[in-house]
Amino acid sequence: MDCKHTSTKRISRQAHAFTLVETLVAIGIGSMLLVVIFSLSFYSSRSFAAMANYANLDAASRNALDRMTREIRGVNRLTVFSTNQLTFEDSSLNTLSYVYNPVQRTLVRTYMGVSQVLLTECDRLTFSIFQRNPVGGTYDQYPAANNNPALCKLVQVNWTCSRKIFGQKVNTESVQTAKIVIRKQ
Amino acid sequence: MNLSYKTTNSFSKGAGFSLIEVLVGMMIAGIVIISLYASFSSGFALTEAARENLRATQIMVEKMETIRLYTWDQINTPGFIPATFTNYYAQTGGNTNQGFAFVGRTSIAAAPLTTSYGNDMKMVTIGLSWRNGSVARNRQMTSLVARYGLQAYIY
Repeated sequence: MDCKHTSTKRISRQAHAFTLVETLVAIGIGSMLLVVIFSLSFYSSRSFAAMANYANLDAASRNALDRMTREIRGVNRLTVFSTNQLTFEDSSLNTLSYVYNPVQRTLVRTYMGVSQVLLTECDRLTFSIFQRNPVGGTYDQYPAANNNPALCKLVQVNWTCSRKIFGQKVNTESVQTAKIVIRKQ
Repeated sequence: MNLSYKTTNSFSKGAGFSLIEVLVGMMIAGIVIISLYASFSSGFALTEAARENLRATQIMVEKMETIRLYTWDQINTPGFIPATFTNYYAQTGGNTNQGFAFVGRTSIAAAPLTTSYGNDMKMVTIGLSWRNGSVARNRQMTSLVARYGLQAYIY
């Protein structure tokens, strides 16, 4: 009898389900854990994406700027100017151009009919041209009158590129400025 | 007796972690999470420093690039090239938030040369300082300018 009683008790203990309170507490703890894990993984992946974007943006901007600097220094002269386009005649008398397209947000280099995209996702890019004589007491030069390309000795370029993470701009901006003196002009 | 022993055994199988196990587990999880966050913050700090360095180099190169446009007289006129300047991190048209300031200084001194043409040269130094958080950073660039050098072909 004693033996049977113990046995019944054991089976009933094992088979009995969770109480409401136990279930609620388990759901509470479980959802808290899930929230923590998801926010952690969201934050981590966003940080990874941000770092990758920074490195990628800087590399692209630096490459574009180095290339433009090297090429513009060596050209013969500027032939066509607008705030989003520069066209040069290089030392071999070929045409070299840099065109910023604000709709596609790209900077395209074209040399001897071959085009190449130098920058993508470029929010703003402005070219300006200056004459050779400096303004005393400043670091500036006199702007080329009427934006006449024949007067251009110095080219200034500013741009801002950015990337989005999960559809948002999260401080992944790359700002570049440069003044490039055409050596020959 | 035998049965009651079994009953106890089946309960102890369903028991939770011991305190030591929980503590060790939490410690390992804590170390993993802290090191993850620490590596992120040091990664961001490094990227930030690299970006600031790149921008500083750009500003100095920009100033150096225009040095070749001055005549010998202009270089020797005090104040014609300002001794100090301030550029901002995000100094482009239409930016409302320009970011932090790079404070620059330019010095034009005698060239450190004892040769006969030493007096016909000047040493231009452009220095830049800025603050990255609480850390002060400095960079500088030096170049020699010759009276009968690069300027001669312009004028």
